[in-house]
Amino acid sequence: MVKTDKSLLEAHIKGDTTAFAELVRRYGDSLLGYLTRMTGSREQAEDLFQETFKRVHEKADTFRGSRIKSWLFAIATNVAIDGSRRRSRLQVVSLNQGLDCADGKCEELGAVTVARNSCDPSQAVVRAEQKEQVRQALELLPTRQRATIVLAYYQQLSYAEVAKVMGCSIGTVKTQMYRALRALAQRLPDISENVI
Amino acid sequence: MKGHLTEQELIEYQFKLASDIRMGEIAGHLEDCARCREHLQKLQRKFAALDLLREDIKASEDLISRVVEQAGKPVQARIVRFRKPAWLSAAAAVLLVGSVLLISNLRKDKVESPEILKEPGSAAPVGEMRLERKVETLLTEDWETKVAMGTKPSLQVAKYSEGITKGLSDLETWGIAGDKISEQPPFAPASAIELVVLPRRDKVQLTIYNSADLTLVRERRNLTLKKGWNWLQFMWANTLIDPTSLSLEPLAQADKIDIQQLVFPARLRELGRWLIRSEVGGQVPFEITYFTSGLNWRAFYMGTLAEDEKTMQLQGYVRVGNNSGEDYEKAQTRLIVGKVHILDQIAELAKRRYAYNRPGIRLEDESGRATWDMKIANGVDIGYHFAGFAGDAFGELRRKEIRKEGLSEYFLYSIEGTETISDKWGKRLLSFEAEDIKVKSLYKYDEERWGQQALRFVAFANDEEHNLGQTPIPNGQVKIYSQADAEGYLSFVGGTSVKYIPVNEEVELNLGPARLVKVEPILMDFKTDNYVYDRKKNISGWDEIRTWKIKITNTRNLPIEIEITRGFGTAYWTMQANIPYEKYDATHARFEVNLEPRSKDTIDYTVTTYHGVREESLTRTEK
Amino acid sequence: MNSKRVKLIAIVLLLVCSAISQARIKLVALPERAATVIRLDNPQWTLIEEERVLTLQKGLNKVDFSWKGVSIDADSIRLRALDHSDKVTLLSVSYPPNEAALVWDISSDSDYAETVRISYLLSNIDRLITYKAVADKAETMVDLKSYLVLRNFSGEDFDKARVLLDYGEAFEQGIDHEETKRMLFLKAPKVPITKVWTFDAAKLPWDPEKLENKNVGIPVSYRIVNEAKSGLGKFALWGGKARLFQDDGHESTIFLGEDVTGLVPVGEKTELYIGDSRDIVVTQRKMKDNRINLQKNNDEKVVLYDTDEVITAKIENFKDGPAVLTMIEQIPGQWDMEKCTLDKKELKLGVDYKKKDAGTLEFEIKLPARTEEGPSVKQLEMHYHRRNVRP
Repeated sequence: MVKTDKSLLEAHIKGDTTAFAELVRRYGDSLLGYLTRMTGSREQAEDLFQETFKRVHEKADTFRGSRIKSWLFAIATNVAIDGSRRRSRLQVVSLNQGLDCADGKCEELGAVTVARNSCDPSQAVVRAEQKEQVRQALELLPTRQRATIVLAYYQQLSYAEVAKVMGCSIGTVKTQMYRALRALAQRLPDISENVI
Repeated sequence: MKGHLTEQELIEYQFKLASDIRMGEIAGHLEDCARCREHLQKLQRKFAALDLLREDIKASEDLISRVVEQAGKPVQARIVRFRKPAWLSAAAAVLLVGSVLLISNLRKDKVESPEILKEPGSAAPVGEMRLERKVETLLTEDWETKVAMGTKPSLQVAKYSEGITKGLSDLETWGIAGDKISEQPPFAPASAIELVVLPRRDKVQLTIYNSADLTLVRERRNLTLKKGWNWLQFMWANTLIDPTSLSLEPLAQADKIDIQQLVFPARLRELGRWLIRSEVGGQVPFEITYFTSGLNWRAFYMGTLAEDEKTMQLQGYVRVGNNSGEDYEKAQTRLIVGKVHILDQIAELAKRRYAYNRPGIRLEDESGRATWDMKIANGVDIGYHFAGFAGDAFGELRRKEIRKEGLSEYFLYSIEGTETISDKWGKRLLSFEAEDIKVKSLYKYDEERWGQQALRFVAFANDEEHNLGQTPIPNGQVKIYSQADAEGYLSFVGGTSVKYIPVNEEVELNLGPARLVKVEPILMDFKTDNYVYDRKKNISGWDEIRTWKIKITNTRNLPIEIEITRGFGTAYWTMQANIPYEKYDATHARFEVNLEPRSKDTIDYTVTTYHGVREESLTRTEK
Repeated sequence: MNSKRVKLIAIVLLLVCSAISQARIKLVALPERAATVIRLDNPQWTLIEEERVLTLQKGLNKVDFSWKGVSIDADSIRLRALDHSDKVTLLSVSYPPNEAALVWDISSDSDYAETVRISYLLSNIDRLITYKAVADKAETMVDLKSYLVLRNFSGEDFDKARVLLDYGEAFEQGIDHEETKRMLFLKAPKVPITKVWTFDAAKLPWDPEKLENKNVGIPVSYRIVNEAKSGLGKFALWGGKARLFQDDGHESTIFLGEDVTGLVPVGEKTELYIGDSRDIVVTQRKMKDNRINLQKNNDEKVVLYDTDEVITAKIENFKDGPAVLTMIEQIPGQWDMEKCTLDKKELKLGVDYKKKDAGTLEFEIKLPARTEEGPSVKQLEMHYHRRNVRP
């Protein structure tokens, strides 16, 4: 039997210890993906991820509705906006380390394993640079525009769902989406040279 | 639908942002218009780049279990990182990275291909004991202050130490064949790009200039290098930092570390990479210096005159404002007085697309930059020492001292300890306090300068005799009060602005019109005499004799001194007066009169001015 | 904008957590002002000094002071501990973003209920002085009242404050924002006045005949001297608007006129102009105006000369009572008086008339009341020379 989100939440409030874990598993990947694309850093995303579910836990009894997806993403969006205000500005990064990959498969954004695509290392480098550019392009968007495009394009929420998450009208969502796309169009790299 | 589709319409079509009707219309047009179809395809290819980031991201079991565990606890457990001070989380991050990298250096195994760090928890720990201890020391060192405050290291920390111990085993170094460093630097950073955000700052020092929107920031950070070639990337998006001013210096092992070049990559914006060749591996303290804008300071003063107005107490304040968009916590703050010459506004430099612009655009600023850099750097580096910071210790709640010293043409005020100034906040600090400054309370009357009113002045000098003289006084607004009564109540006398006053220079503050002292000059008599005629019997010279009476009224309860200046419009004059006078300059005479409280006095004088050829008679008699 | 109160909120924190957290916590308790002094001796800024009792705890205290809607000079705000000034230290002052407020970091070595004095400068709060003088029927004395008008548009309400001016007594008053209060400040009954008519030849027309059917009004003023003899003389009288009335003898008063007086220091006089009198008529004519002592150059052009001038003035008094007319005559440049007479009797400079300045003479002419035959008449004649005049 597949339990509804709402019933899981209610069970958690009542003290069922497995219910919360189930919820987290259900939406964890998608939420983490959202936060990672919002912040550009896996590490920060994990912190925001924890904060999001902490708030979910704290506000569990205030939830009214049946599907918690929009509610979850709304909380995550607020957490991301709060987080972005406090983020480091001058970021200095060491490029020496290996990646945080599981089972040899790289999950970090912009990560490419040279060994894997051993045919042409330079292509991998180009690819990595292009990813970096895309990530930067996203990073330069204002927070709300970024949230809109990540939710709509990457997390594949409908515009109506995005509107619920952002707490605005569909019209506003579409405007934000258009603005984000227009800004991106200027900064995205040209990847027409195909890398196979 | 006439014409072709605009880019906006194509974007709206591609991403279904338009209304259904509109979508239909656009689709219809596309069927018939090859050019628009091509345009659309171009757009689609462009946006295809977005898919580069489309990998699936999975939440690890470890993360999930942490989250669930946290939900099991009662609600008040606060683990939110961004509510804590930045340094806390920063310290945590440094632990992760620092220890991770530390481990990598401890294990100098040869490897053929770079093996990627496996997810923590999936491999057997190796060398765990040693590393754990290391981790713990790192933990306690940085967190002792926190413990002193009575709070416990939070769950956050625990998580990191866990993660570290579990994941240590799987760290590998890459790119190194044994201990030899390859001679050729890598052309570009190797493909494995991991973005780990290092701690914001270990220690910060701000030097804020008041004459320009310029602040020199010095940060100390511990960066972990590996033996060999290192790439260090920095990004300054959304800051007001001038990227061309960034400089990196190792504070230890400087002879073994060589900062080779700084690359601003082609298509990436607001990003730069240093290439460092290091013969040592491990944690190295570095100093990062750069210019930023958005911080400012100004000085202002409050003086209180004693009841007899013979002495004054002066307090100097500085008001520091932070509009840089950054929070500066526990920064050692220094303020600089002096006019600094800069070629570009820092805020403008921070926003540039290309750090050094491009060829063909304003060549002169490129050549000018080198000298400017050196000029500023020299001025500030003299006497600089990255002294130990007076800890902003909890126990020491006393007012801070501001240390002053002269450097080149600038004056530096160092505020003791550290200051925390959050973004958009301002702070007022007392920069000096001097008691019993001998002042002269003086009135002046000069119709040519100030019209028919007497002005009130307070005069002193910035020297030891006046209980000052330790430092120049930066320009700013001054407000003067006076003791109104014995209970310490004050009265506001007036305000003015004061320019920069070097040591030993005299100051005269103009406090505005005097309401209680009146000066009334009256011309009592006018005569002409001694007409001289030329050969044609035209008037070629004459004297003008004027008799003046100046009535002075002092309605104050204190005796006053007043200086009255009279101008004659010519350099040829003689005067008889009932009191002594000073020949102030060629065309002016000056009287100094002292009046008792609530009294009147009169100056009577007769001045003869010589016109035309009569001027010669004056010079003749003077010879 | 509505007035807002200047709030003083004491925040007491035991440990240094406040140094780290960004949130500004506000407390509920609002210590009332203990004593406030408003000093109105400066026209630009008014200094306010208020005392409050702050509950301080040992260690670091953060105190929040906000002034939304009040025209205050933020730099001028100062805090001073009064009871334990050596044990309570002001560490720093911070200004939060976008707020009309500041935060004081105060360290205290123990728990105290400390009286502190906060001082600051407010603008748009000031005072005016107005006068009301009621003259007796004979116009020999006035009942003088001076009013102090307090205007408070600073944005701040004051319930009860000690108001101080540059002189006089302090008094207790409350005044709210946008309130204006007028209070009696000085009462001086039976201040002797001198009624003064002034004919200034430089300002008034000389020949009434030439005016078509119009009167030349002679300005009339009440002269008051700020001296002890008048019941005044204690401090300077501030400038302000004065309204003058006269007791009409029928248990009522009539309004005579109003004027503005400047500052009158002790011992000095002021003249309040009430209106014009048409009952005194002056007719002044220049009877002689010749050039003499001509100095010519070689081209027979005059380069310098003297003049021989005579001015006569006929003064008629149509009033029932006597009057003193002050006549002001102007003679430009260099001159000397040959002969000056009043009704053919010679007048001596310095004795019978004064030289106000190089070109201004002042005569005080006593005019008797008119008789049944008609007005009393006096004739003034000035015979003078102007010297060294250039064409």
